[in-house]
Amino acid sequence: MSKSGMMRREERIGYLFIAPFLIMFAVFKLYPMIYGFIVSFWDRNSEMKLMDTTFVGFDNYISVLTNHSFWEAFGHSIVFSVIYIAFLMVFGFILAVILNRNFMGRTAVRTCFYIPYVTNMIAVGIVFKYLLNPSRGPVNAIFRMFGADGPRWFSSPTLALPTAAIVAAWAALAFHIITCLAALQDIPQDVYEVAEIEGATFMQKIRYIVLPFLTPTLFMLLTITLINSFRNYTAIVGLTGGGPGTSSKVVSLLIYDDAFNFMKFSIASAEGVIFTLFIIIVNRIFTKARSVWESR
Amino acid sequence: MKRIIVALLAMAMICTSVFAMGSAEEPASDYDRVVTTTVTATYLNETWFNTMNADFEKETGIHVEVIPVPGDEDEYKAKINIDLMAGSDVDVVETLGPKDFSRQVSAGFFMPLNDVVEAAGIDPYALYGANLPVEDDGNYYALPFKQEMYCVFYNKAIFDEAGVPYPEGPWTWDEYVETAQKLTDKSKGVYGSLMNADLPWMYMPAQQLAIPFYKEDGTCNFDDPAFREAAEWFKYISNDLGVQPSVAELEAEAANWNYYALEGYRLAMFPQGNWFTRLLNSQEDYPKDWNYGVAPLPSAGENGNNNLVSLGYVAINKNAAHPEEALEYTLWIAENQWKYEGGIPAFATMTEEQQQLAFGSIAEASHGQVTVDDLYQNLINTGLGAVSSDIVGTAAAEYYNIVKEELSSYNMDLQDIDTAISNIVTRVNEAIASAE
Repeated sequence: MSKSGMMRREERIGYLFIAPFLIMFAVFKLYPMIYGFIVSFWDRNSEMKLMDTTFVGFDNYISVLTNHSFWEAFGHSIVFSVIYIAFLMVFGFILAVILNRNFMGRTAVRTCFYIPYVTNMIAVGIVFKYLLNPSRGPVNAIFRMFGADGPRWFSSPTLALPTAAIVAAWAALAFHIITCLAALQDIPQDVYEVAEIEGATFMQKIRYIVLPFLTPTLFMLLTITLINSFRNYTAIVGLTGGGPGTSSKVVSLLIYDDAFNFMKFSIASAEGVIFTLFIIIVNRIFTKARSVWESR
Repeated sequence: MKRIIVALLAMAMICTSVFAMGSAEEPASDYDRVVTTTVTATYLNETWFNTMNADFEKETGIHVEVIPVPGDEDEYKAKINIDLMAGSDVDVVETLGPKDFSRQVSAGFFMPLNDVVEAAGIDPYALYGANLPVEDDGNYYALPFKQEMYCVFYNKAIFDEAGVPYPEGPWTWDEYVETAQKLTDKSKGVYGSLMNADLPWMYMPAQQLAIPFYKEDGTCNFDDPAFREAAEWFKYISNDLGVQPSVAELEAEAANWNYYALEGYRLAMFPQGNWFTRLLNSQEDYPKDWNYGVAPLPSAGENGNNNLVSLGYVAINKNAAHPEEALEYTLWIAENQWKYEGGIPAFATMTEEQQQLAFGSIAEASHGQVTVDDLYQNLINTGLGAVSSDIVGTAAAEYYNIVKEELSSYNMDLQDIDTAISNIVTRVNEAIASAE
């Protein structure tokens, strides 16, 4: 058998192996994405039958972009993302550095940090709503011991969104710790030894050894975290339900409400498309920043 | 040979992956005739639901094929609407509350029942009276199968401890608040009242006054002074008077009624629908060491002598695969479901036997806490008229959501009442315009 013939056969078998994924992807991801995009140009904003739908051009986009509720939710999504990303990047790195050192019970501590990552977000929500209950929760009981009332975490219009972002970030922290830890362990030991001989302090080692070695990993984590930060529907539903009032209503919740509570599928699709475009743009900016950084 | 095995394995992977997406195997059935109905998956665990269908099958020889929809009631509503939009041929659909029902009717999901019901020898106008949902076109697209009414449940132990006599009707909201004040003792964790920071409690008295949600020209009527007064009153008794947990506390809990009324606090009185007896009587799921009583819903004044009522409807899908069987099942459900579920039928009048049936099982399950007469006198024979507990009309779901969001912000001191009302009117009018 010729070499090229063998390659073609191998290619065919390769395609056969990836076919299940491709079929699933096409049915459950690609088709809904394309369909959602098309629907955003239709007037599919009631329970009317599919055949009765008409093409309305950019009307749904104009309607979304001139809607106060959309911009309010958009702002909340940005606030959520900024807090979520900052918490994960900072604490993920710090905890990885701590867990990279030798101490007794290190494995047990690492396992403890991993548990929230495999816990259902709704369960996390129930636990935190109990812990942070202003009148009967143990956290505010500590405040009361010192004569203070303590914050109204999820029921305060100003605190609900940041609290939800921090709880969601806490639940996702393990991924950052593990990824940073793996990168830390790739740093050659002799680099530390040289720094030790030169009399470098702990902070100098972090600045001149750890951070430069970890930069590609941190950029990769930043990109993943950015995307994940916008996938916040479960966290918000489980923790605040978008309230009090609309103070923690994010775009994902708005899209769900418009589509499934109000049957405004075209409006919801337009909101989804606009928000996806925004995520793509921000992601491109991050990627560009990364390449500029790496070329320095 | 090796290549063949690899190829076969790959094919097997594709087949198992793709076909494992699921085609539910139909259960073998001894019945020639079938009717399909779709319900929330939780119904499948309800003994009454399974017994009801078994009795229907025995009586009619028609097999009931249940198509369960995973998720809670809200998810069910969304999924069933999408299913119907996509042309589902499920036969019978149950809808709770006129808000969703009117949307489904205007979308043309259901078949008109006038001719077929009357051909079956039934006079629905006499049987259901005002509860029959006759539309503007003179047709009715469903039969009502149950009604939920509001009343005040109370904790007898708290009344006994405070030496306050049990409430009796007729009474007013002022008397309710006065009683709640006597019972509230925060040092013991006791609140006199609990009305949730939700609808319709946040404007309940205005609804009892039958103030319409829409003006004659179809725009939002929430700027009627009665809604404003009711919203201010709710905030006053919650945040200022303190006879019930503050709105901030209620928002912080964001839990279900059972949590507040049975587990979270010691609450003396809680206005609720009659469905709540199911929780109060479920000692196994919601154990409590106190007995409950029932009083009628307070009146909102001379013109507010109304109770809030919510109806459940059973309808036949316009694309039903088995229309004849669907009609038989629909008629049977409308006549019998309340007996199994333990609710109140939607009949215009109830015979003594029907009262006994409707309330007998609740009274029995309460182990002497309430009697059939208690329930009848405080739910039905109250002297109160009936108004819908839901917002019914154009963009009703958005209307409901907007009112809830804006009043919630008002109750949390994020905005004053003028801003809240103005926002409600502006946003609802936008939603109405968009829907039209």
